[in-house]
Amino acid sequence: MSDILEVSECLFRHLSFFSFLLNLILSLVKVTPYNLDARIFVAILRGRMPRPSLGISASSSSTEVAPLADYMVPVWFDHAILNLPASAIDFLDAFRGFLYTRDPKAAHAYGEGDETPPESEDAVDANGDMLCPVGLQLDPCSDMKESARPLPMIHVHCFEREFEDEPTAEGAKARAVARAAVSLGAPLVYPSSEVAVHVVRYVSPQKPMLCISFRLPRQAALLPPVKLKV
Amino acid sequence: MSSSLGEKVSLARAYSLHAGDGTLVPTAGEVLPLSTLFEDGDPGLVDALTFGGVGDGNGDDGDNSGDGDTLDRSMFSSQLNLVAVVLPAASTCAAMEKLRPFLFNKPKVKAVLGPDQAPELFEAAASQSGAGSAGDKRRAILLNEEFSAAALASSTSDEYPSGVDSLLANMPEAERAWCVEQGCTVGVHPLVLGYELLSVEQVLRALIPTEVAAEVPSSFETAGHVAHLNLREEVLPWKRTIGQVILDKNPRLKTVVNKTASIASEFRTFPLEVLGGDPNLVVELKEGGGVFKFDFGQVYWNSRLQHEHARLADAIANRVWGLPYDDDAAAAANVASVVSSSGSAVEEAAVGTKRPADASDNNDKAVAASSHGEQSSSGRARAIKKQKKGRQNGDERPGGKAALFNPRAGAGLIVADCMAGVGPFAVPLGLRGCAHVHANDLNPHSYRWLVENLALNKLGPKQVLPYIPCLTRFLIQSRMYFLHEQVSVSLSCLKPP
Repeated sequence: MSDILEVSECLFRHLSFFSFLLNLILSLVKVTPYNLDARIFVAILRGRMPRPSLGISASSSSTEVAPLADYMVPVWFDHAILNLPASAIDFLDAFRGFLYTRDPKAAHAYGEGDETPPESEDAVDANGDMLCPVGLQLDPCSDMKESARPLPMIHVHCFEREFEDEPTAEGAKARAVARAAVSLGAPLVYPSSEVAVHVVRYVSPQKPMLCISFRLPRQAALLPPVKLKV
Repeated sequence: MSSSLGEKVSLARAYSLHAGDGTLVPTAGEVLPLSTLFEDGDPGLVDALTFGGVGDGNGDDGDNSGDGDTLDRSMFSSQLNLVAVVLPAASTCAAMEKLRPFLFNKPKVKAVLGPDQAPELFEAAASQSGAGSAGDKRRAILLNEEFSAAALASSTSDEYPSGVDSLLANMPEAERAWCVEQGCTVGVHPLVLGYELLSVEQVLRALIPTEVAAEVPSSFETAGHVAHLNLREEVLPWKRTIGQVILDKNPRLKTVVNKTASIASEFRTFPLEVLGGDPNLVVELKEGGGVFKFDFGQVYWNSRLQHEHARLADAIANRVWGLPYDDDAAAAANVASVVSSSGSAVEEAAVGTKRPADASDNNDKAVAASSHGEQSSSGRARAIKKQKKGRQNGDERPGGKAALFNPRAGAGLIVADCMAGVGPFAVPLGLRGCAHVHANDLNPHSYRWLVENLALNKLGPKQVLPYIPCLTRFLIQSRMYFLHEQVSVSLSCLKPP
C-alpha cells in the first residue's frame, strides 16, 4: 500500500514536473499574453496566485495532484506599464506588497481558501519595515539582498485637469502624482529626482494626458498585499 | 423641397467669377468650376447663391440605407475653356519661365499637354504651320483662367477667335513676340475639371449647408484602412455623404466609421457605426517596428499614442532609468549591436537611477572591453545625448518604416504590461530584445489579437521552442535564476525516493 502511495506520489510529481516544464515553455516565449484583471495579473506574477495558463484554477481541488505552489513561481519584473489613462492610477494598489510572495512552506497560503492573513498580525520591526504577512515570504530575489535588482519602475498613464489660472502643466502633474501616492499607499515626492511626469498630449485644451514614471517605493513594496476577490 | 441639388449646382454654374474685381458675372457659354469660385471669391457668396434659402434640402440624403453610393459625382464636373499655346517641345522649359504669370496653375492638373491629351490643338497647329512641322514634338501650354476669360470675352461671335493676334492680345508685347518667334500656334482647350480635383471640404460645402459644413472635422484619425470620425450631432443627417466623400478623396482608406457614443465600457472600446466602404474593421498597421492586426471595433486603439508607445518602449529598452542589474552579457549584447537607436523622446533621464555600489565597476569593465561602447550600459548619458541629437535632426520616425532600433537593447529586462491591449508596448519591447514581457489585458478580444500580433512579430511560442535545449544556460544568462532554482527542484523530484 505504501509502495503504491509512493509510486503515485512520484507520478504526481512527474505530472507536476511536466506541467512545470509546460509553464517554462510558456515562460520562454518573448512575450507571454494573459487575459486577466490587472490586480490578479500582478498577484500571479508575484507568485501569490496560481497561473491560469495551466488550466488549473485556484478553486479546483487538485492540490493533491499538483501542488499549487509549483505553479506559483514569483516572476520579477523591472518595469510595469499601466496604460489605461482613465483608471490606471486606481490599479497602483496592486503593487502594495510587491516584495511578498507566497511561502510554499506555510500551512495556510494567502490567496487560497478563506484563510487569509489577519492584518493585525502585520508587525513592524525595529527599522520600521513591515514584517511578513502571515503565509507570505519576502521574495528571495528582491532587493532585500544586497546583490539583487532595484525595485521596478512603474509607468502609469492618467488624465489630469488643469485649472484656468495655471500657466503650465506643473500643477496638474503634482495633483496626478498625489493621486498616485494615495493609491499606492506610500508618499511620492514631486518634483524630485525620483518621480518624472511626461506630458503625452492634450486630449482637450485643459486636460493633459500624463505619464508618471517612478521607482516603486520600498515602503509600498513592504505593505501588506491588497486582498483580491477571485 | 424647393429644387433638386443638380439644379442648384447648375445655378452656380451659370455664374462665373470675373477675373479682376471679384464680382459674379453671368455668362452664357462659359462655365467655371466650383473650386475656382471657392478659391478666388467669397465662399459665403457662393453658398448663398447655390443654396439660397434652402436649409433642409438634403435631409434625406443621409438616412438612406448606406450601402448604395448616393453621391452623384458628375454634377461636380465642369468645363473650363482655356487658351493654349502650342510650342515646340524643346522650348517648353523656356516658355514656362517666360509665361509664368499667365500659366494655368491648379493642383493635380498638368498645365503642359502632349498630343495625346489634346489632339485638336495639335491638328490645328499642324494645319496652321504646315504639314512639314514635327507635330509630335510639340507641347501645349495652358494659360490661366483670368487670361483665358479676358481673351475669350473679347470675341463677339459664337466661334472662339483663333490666331496669335486675337487670343494673345492681352499679353505684353515682349512675351507675345517671343511666342511668335518660337513658331507657336494658339488654340482653345476645353478642360474638364471634375469631382476628383475638389477637396473634401469643397465637396462637402457644396453638398450640405454652410453652418453644418463648418462642423465637419477637417482631420481625422486613421488606423490602417479605417478612418475614425467623431461627428457632431448637427452633422449626422449627412453622415453617409461625408463618409463617401472621405473615402473618395483618400484612396488608401477603405472604411469610414463614426463614434456613436463616448468611451464608457470597461474595455475602453466605443460603439461605432460604419459610414461607408468595406464593413471589415480588421486593420493591419505598422508601429514601432512591429506589425499589428486587430479589429478596430473590438479593441481599444489610439493612433495618436504612437509617439508615446515609441517613447516609453525606447526609454525602457535603452535603460533611461538605470540598469535593473548588472549583467556582462547584457552589456556585451548592447555593445555588440550598435544600431542607431530610434531615439524617441526621452526627457526624464535621471530618474531613479539608484544602483548597487559595485555596478559602476562592472560597467567600466564592459566599456573598457569595447572601444565603441556607445550603447553600453554605462554610456547611458551619451546614448541619451545621441537620441536628443537624433530628434533634433528629425531622423526619428516612430512607427515609420525608417524606424530603427537596437534589437538587443533591452537584453535582460523583464517588463509587465498590465493593460497591454493588442500590444503597442509589449510588441516593441519584445522586438527591442527584452528578456521577457508579460502582457496582460482584460478584454478577451484584445487578448486574442495580442496573441496573433505576437505570432506576426515572431515573439510567440513557435519561434522560441527550438531554444529549449539550452534551457538552463538561458535561464542563467537571462538571470531568471528563480526559474533555474525551480528547474533544479523539479529535477530533484524526479529522483526515486
